[in-house]
Formats: sequence, structure tokens, C-alpha cells
Amino acid sequence: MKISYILIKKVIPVFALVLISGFIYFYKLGSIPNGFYVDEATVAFNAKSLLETGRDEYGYKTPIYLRLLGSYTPSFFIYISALAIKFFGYGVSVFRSISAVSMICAVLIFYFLAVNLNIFKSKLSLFVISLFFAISPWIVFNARLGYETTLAFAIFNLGMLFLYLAIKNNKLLTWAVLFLSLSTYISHNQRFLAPLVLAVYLFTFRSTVFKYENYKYLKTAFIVGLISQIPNLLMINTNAFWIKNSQFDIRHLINYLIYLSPKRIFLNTEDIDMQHTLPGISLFYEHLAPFYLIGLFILVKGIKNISNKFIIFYLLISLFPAVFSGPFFSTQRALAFAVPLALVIGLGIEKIFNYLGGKLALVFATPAILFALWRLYGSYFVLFPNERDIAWNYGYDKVAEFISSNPNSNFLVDNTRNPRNYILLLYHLKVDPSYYQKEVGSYYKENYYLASVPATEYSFQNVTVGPIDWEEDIRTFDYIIGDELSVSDSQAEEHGLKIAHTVNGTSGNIMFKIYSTIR
Amino acid sequence: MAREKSGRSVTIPKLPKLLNMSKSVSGLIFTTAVCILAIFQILTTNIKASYSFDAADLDLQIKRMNYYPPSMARAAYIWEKKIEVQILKKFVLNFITAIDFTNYFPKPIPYIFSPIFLTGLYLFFSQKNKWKSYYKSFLFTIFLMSCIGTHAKYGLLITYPFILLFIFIGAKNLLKILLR
Repeated sequence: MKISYILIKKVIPVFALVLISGFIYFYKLGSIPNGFYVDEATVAFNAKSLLETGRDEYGYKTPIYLRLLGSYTPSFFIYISALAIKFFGYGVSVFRSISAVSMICAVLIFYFLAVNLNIFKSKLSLFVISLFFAISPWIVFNARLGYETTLAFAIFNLGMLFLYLAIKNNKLLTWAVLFLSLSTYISHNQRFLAPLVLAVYLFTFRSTVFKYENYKYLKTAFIVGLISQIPNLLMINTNAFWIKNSQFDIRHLINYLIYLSPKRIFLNTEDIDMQHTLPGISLFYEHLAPFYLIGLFILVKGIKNISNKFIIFYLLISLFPAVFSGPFFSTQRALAFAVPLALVIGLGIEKIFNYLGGKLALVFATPAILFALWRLYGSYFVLFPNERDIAWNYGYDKVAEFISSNPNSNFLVDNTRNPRNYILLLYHLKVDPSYYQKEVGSYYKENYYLASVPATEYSFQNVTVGPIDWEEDIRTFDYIIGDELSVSDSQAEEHGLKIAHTVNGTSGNIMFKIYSTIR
Repeated sequence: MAREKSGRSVTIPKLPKLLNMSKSVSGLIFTTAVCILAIFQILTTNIKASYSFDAADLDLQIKRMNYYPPSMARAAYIWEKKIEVQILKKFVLNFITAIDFTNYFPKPIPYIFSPIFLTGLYLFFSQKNKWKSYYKSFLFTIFLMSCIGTHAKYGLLITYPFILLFIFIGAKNLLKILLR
């Protein structure tokens, strides 16, 4: 009796969540998104470089922050990726799998946080909101990326779970500090978030944390935090450490309203980066909008409740990097907000479910979940590969194939509209990292953390990546490769360029034209 | 009358006469005003624009419908092309636009009033019984805006009484706290 009770109430929901999210996150992972984005390629190539040579693409030995394309990303994800390459290979899905696994963990962390917050009296609403969180477009999108944001999100959430548990059991504060500290080595967002979270947490929950009997735990947590931050502290004097700081502006405080806006959450994110958006869908499903408003109301009404207080703290703090980094809506910087947002929606769902009663709530929930799955299928698995292929750098693998099949020819690849596309060719051409490190030259290696301006031209094997110089290049290169705007018809005619090959997008549009300069 | 910590009494400034009226009378006046504004809003809103589809919309609908695999053709047609579903999508768009509080910032409400406005909005819902007649008018307004859309010649005039009401409730409450 007891075992069956535990099975039904505890194990089955968790198992179902893992199964459903696992299927959605891994289904066609290598082919959707159907390109390989520059951020994924730079992680992949640098991970391979670190694995094979112990140095990154610039030849710098075991960096704490990787220069990559100039972002100085904390290195943890890249080292994990190097391990993944060793065991699973260099395929696109290998890097995305790290995010998929991280997101499954994040879903479980969300579930356990919701259980411990004790805000959902009904098991049905707890499961339904955990499922809506797991299948929300925002979460699914991030679960299938081959770069660091998702792993950072999962570790940060684990830290937040322990932080909540530490309100009642101070011993757990050390774990919270450890995971939050670890998250700062994965992504820039968490580098700003983690210290801020701890400072605001200690202030908000000071009455429960700062008790005489808790001082020994506080001391341990402080020491663990300090020791684990030594690598970051060593970097404090470098330009690389402060790379994202110039964007902070206090006037952006008003952006909180923008990020909390139902229109942005449920209708259209208005993220200016097409790579971060899904066609016809926003961060959460539109039919959850009324629950969000109800949830917000319940949240504020119960502000004296410790759980609600924690959610409000989580909600406001998680938006901090996004709100203060600029006037534009950034879904990636606001990712940590997904957890408190889903909890707020959950509060609304719980209220309505309580009103409807058990059976009616189930009748109501089933079509709502099925509709959400249909929306996800349509937007992510059908429209997204067709409408976001350009944003996801689709077609570079085919360009690389053409280059590989002509090893004795010289190629110029135009990078005017995609200045970072050299990394895609390095990945798809499977260039040997030790060879490329010699091509880079010593300047970037010697001034590694100086945050100097990236190069505009790159050369490796028989490929040069850079803007077209019409006086020289048609004599130097056998082929010029560019997108539809690189070479106009009149320029092609004037310089006697002939189309040797075209690469088409998924919906038949021309992505790349390969011109032969041989007359 | 409120009392300071020292024990000295402080008088809260008297509210305008209209607001001291019996609740049913002021509610009735408010509801009548909302009804008149609703008629004006309907007359000055281009409802057709909210439910029409231009050439680009129609092209996108067909394009998207054709991206689905053949086994999903029927469902794809219903979701991406069928007129009833497209109208429903427009209704949802209007609804979310109507409930989006950021629509009212910085015009007509400057950002500086946002805490007062949001406090008022919260109190309006938490004291549902106190604002019963206003509450029904508010729900009616949201429903009306969801139906007719937001392509209005003079803006969303029908929401202005509520904006003022929320600011009033918020300001009154903050004043009470300050003078306590």
C-alpha cells in the first residue's frame, strides 16, 4: 500500500517529466536547429583544441575565460564539451546533448523547488505546471542549444533550490554557495547574478539566516565561496573580466515592466536577435496568460508568506542581468526568470484548479497540455527549421563540402554580414586545431585577456575569410563564396564571375552562391 | 482620523465629494460613463482592421501551411489557414494587448506613476467587493477591447477612467501609509 502510494504520488510524476522532456529535448537534436550557430561552433572548435593540444584556438594554455569570438566566456562548459568529444565524438548533437541533459535536470530541480515551496496543495497542479515549464517554448529552445547558457541555468537553479532550503536548514547554505559559485564559471549571466543573489538573499532573509547558532554554517559557506572564487578573483584586473560591464545603466530599471509584460511573455518576445526567437510563438503559451495575471495577484497578496517572498526575490533578481544590460529584450539574458515565471503561472493554475475541483481540473488540463504540445510541434519542429535557417547559419556544412571537394583551389568566403563565420568553416572543414593555432599568430596569445578587437580576415588551408577586395581578389582566388548580397549581378558580369554552385535553404531560397573567377 | 506614534492625531485630507457619495450612486455614475465611452470607442475603432489580413499575412499563412508534412495537412490547414481560427488568434492578440499593463506606459501614464498605478491595480482586485460595480465594468472593458481591437482613432479612451481609478486608489492608499 505504502509502496504503491509513493509510486503514484512521487515516482510516476518525476518519471513522466523526465520521459516527456527527454523525448522533446532529444528528438532530432542533430538536425533541429538545422544550422550550427557560431556560438556552438566556437565552443566545439575550442573544446576540440583544448582536448587535443591543451590550448584554445589562439594557442593560449588552459584559459579561465575563453576568448572565443571576443566574448571571454567562462570556461567550464567548454571543458565539459572537451570531455564529451573524447567519449562521443565531434558531431553537432554531442554539444547540444549537454544542454538537453542539463535542462532535464533543470526540470527536476524546478519540480523539487515547487514541492519544497509548498505552494501547490494539489498534486495535479504541481505536475501540470512542471510539465508546462518543461514543454514551454523558452525551455525547449534552450534545451537544444550547443553552448553554455543551459548548463549555467541548471546549476544556478540548483543553487537557488539549496538557497531556499537553507532558509529552514542553514547547513545547506554551503551547498547553495558552492553551486552558485560554480555557475559563475559557466556563463556571464551567472557571473553577475550569483554574487547579487547572495547579497540580496542575506539581506531579505536576514532574520532567519543571521542567528547565533547559524554562524558556523555561515562561516563555512563564506570560506567555500571565497576559495571557489579564487580563479575569478585572479582575473579581476584583466579587461576580459569586465567585458560585459560597459552595458550596465541604472536608467534601465524601467525595463522590469517590459520583462513582466504579458505581451512579451505570451505573444511576441520582440527579441531583436532572430536566432533567439521561434516563429509564431513566444516564451510561454498564450493560453497561460490569464493564469499569469491571477498568479501575480496571488503572489503579491501572500507576500508575507516565506515561499511567496522567495519567489518575488527570485523573480526580481533573475531579471537583473537582462534589465540592466540594455533597452532591448533579451530572452537569453533573462533565462533564469523562467523558473519564477512558471511558479507564478502555477499559482494561477492552482487557484483555478481548486475552483474547478479534481476531475474537472483534469478535464481542463488535458486539452490545455495537448494544445501546448501542438503549438510546440508546429512552431519548433515545423516552422523553425524553415524560417530561421539563415539566423542559424544553415548551409555552411555544404559550403565546406564544396571546399573539401576542391582541395587544389583557393577560396575567398565573404564575411561582411557574418563577421564570425570563419569559425563555422573551421568546424565543418574539421581543421586541425594545432595547425590553426600557428596560423593565428602570436598577438592574440600574448595579449590574450586584453580584449582586443577581433581580426577581420582569417586564413587557413586553402580558405581566406574576409570582405571582398574587387581589385585583388578576383586574381588571387579561384572561387568567391558569399550570400545573396555579396555579389550583385552587375558585379558578377563586370568581373566575369560565373556561378559554379549554389547552396539552397530549407525552403528553397538561395543561401550561398559560389562564383568561379576562372575565365 | 489617524494617530501618529507620539499620540498626536492627524487628519487625512477629505476626499472629493463625488467619492464620498454612497457607493452604489458613484458606481452607477461610473458605469454610465463607461457605457457612453464604450459606445464612443466602438464608433471610433476600426474593427475591420483588427480582423483583416493583408497580402503578406495571407502569403505567410499559405507558406506556413505548406511547411507541415502531408500527414498533418488537415491540422495544418485548420491552424494556419482556416478563417475562424485566424479570427480567434486575432481575438487572443487583442485580449493580451488589452491586459498588457505596459501598453499604458509611458503614455498616457508617465513611468513615475507606475508604482502608484500598480498598487491601485492590485488593491482594486484585492478589495473586489468594495469596487464591485467598477470591477464588472472593468471586465466588460477588457472583453470589449478584445472584441473590437485597438485600432482606435483617439486611442483607448475607454481605459482612461480605470487608469484614473487605479491611480486614485493607489495614491489614496500610499497617502494613508505616509500619514499613519
